[in-house]
Parts: sequence; C-alpha cells; structure tokens
Amino acid sequence: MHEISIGMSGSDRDIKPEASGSRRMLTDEQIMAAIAAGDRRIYADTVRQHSRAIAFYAWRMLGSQAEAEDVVQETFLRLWTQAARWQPDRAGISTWLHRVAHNLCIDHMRKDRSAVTDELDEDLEDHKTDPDEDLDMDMRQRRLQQAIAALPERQRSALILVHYQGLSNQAVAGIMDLSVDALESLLARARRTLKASLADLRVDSENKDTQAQPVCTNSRRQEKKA
Amino acid sequence: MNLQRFEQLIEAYGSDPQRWPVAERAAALKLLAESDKAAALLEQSAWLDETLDQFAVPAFDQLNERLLKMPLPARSKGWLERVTQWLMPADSARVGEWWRPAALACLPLVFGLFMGMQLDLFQDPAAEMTADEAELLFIALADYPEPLE
Repeated sequence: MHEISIGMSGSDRDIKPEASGSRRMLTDEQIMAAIAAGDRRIYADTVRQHSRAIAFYAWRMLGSQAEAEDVVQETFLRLWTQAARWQPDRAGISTWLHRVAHNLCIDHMRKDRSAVTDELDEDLEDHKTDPDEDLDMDMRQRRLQQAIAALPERQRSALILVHYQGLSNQAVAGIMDLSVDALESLLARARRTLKASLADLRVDSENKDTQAQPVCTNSRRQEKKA
Repeated sequence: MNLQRFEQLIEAYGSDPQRWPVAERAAALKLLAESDKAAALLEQSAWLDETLDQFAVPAFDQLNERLLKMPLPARSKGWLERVTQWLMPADSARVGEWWRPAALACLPLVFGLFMGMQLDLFQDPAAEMTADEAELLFIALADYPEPLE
C-alpha cells in the first residue's frame, strides 16, 4: 500500500516528504493499473514519490548527475510505457523501478567504463560553508566516491541498494537476479574492500575526534540523533 | 542464531540492525544483548557504516520538474486492447455505447454462417461427378436382362 499524494514516503531513506496535498491510499496494483490505463495524475504522483530515490541510486552508481538524470528519465518513461507488464507478485513499484534503473546503470557503465567522473566535487561545491571543515569533507567525499566507484559493478550495486536505498535483501536479490546467499557474498566482499581502502579515513577520524557532517546524506544515523 | 551467523550478518549488512534481514533481526539482537563477542564484532564494523553514511548526494532540485515536463510517448497497444477499445470506447458518444457491443454479439452468427457455407452439407454429391463416374452409376443402376456370371 502506497500513499499517493503531492508528497513522498516509503522506505527510501534519502527521501524527505514534501508538502502534502490531497491524499488517498492506493495499492501498488491500483497505481500501476491506473498508469497502464493512461492516468497522468497518478503517474505524476508516482514520479514525485520515487524520483529522488532512483536519482540517488543512479548517481551513486554512475557518479555523474547528468547521467543519473538520464537514467531517471528513462526509468520513468518505462514506467509509463511498460506499466501494463508489471507483475504484482514479483515486486513492488519501488523495487521494480530500482530494477529498471539498475539495468540502465549497468548498461551505461558497460558503454562507458569511464562513466564515474569527478562531477561529485562540482555537485557539492554549492554547499560549502567552513573552509577547513569543507576541505576535510571534500577529501572524504572524494575518497568515498573513489572507493565505491572502484568496486566491481555488481558489488557496488548490491552495497548501494542495501546500504543507501534501504531495500530488503530479498528485494535486492530479486533486482539483481541473485540468491540471497550470493547477495550476502557480494556485500561482504564489497565491505571488506571498502574497509581496506577507507581505513585511513577511520584513523583520521579517530585522531581528529571530529565528525564531518554530511550535506545531503542518507542519514539514518542523523535521524536517530534527531 | 550463533556467533558465526552473526558475524556473517555484520560482514554483509553492516552494524545497523535496520539493514539486517527481518527474519533474523530479533535473534541477532538477542545474541547481541547477551554476547560480548557479538558486541565487539558490531563495534569493529560500525566505523565503516558511519563513513558510508557521510556520502553526500546532490539535491536534484529540478528533477521532478524536468520529469513532469517530459513528453510521454504513446504506448503501443496489443491487438486485443485495440479491438476492445474500439468496441467499447471509454469516452464514446451514445451511439457507440450500443452498436459496437451489438456488432460484437453478431460475430458468432457471422462465424456460424461462414462455417456452414464451407461445409456444403446440403450439396448433391451427384452434381460434382465426372462424366465417367455418372456413366458408371447409370450402368450400376440399370436392369440387366442377363444375369452376371
């Protein structure tokens, strides 16, 4: 059951609800049936609800805002044109959209192996405030970006889907056509690699005893503090 | 849940219980509360999750506007959907509401007539005989004066 409104909700932790409008509860099946029948209002509500989560996933996979937006656009075009093919017993809307975006991202990466760019730095330029803190933050962001980008594409996707997108192991296994055991193996390898490549950040952090605050992060931890 | 499986969970899903599989979460939390080794394993992994959580993303402020302005293509319909929509259009004028279903109802009748004409049940078989076949039939039906030996 999804809340369709001028706003957002759901398990995607990056998404913050927008101003609420008229609300009504529709099941995923009703939403997809309406979109398949050409209901543009329901389609627009679904775009508002899921677009940012898909954009964050694509951006973390590709490292480029322009490419991420292309993937999001193509994902929602497919929602419009292929809603009738959606099967309710296989996946919810969010999982289905992530599956489409995952396949598109893999296609992008295979077309252009140099897809992961330095655009991250440009994207974050606007958010800078304190020069010292930002220098550290900038360095940490770059290291994180590089470390995640260096992961093999399937490990990267598994990590992003579980850690940042907040999807269940079953959903991610379905998106990636894997068994749950295989998914856990991918995740464990990804995390081992990241522990090795980001170990110096841990040391730096402990030495400075400071925590750089994220600008616009997937912040379960922040939510906990709040 | 044992310590080995707990370690596998931490290695795969990290230190945040919200990311652990729902089916195993309660048992893992119970073990965590009871075992110092489990707590130590969790602590060793926590820094990576904290670091990963600092991965910022762009705001994508204009994304929804761009997506909602995107022209949506016409969808290609299957033949059944097209026929159904022609027969029962959702926004038809009043006349379309009755004559198209009526036409649909007549289809079995048309089909039956067509099949009936194809079967030729009432056609005289003699009409399609060749001249030789007709002569043989005539001879067969004739009254011979002499018995055949």
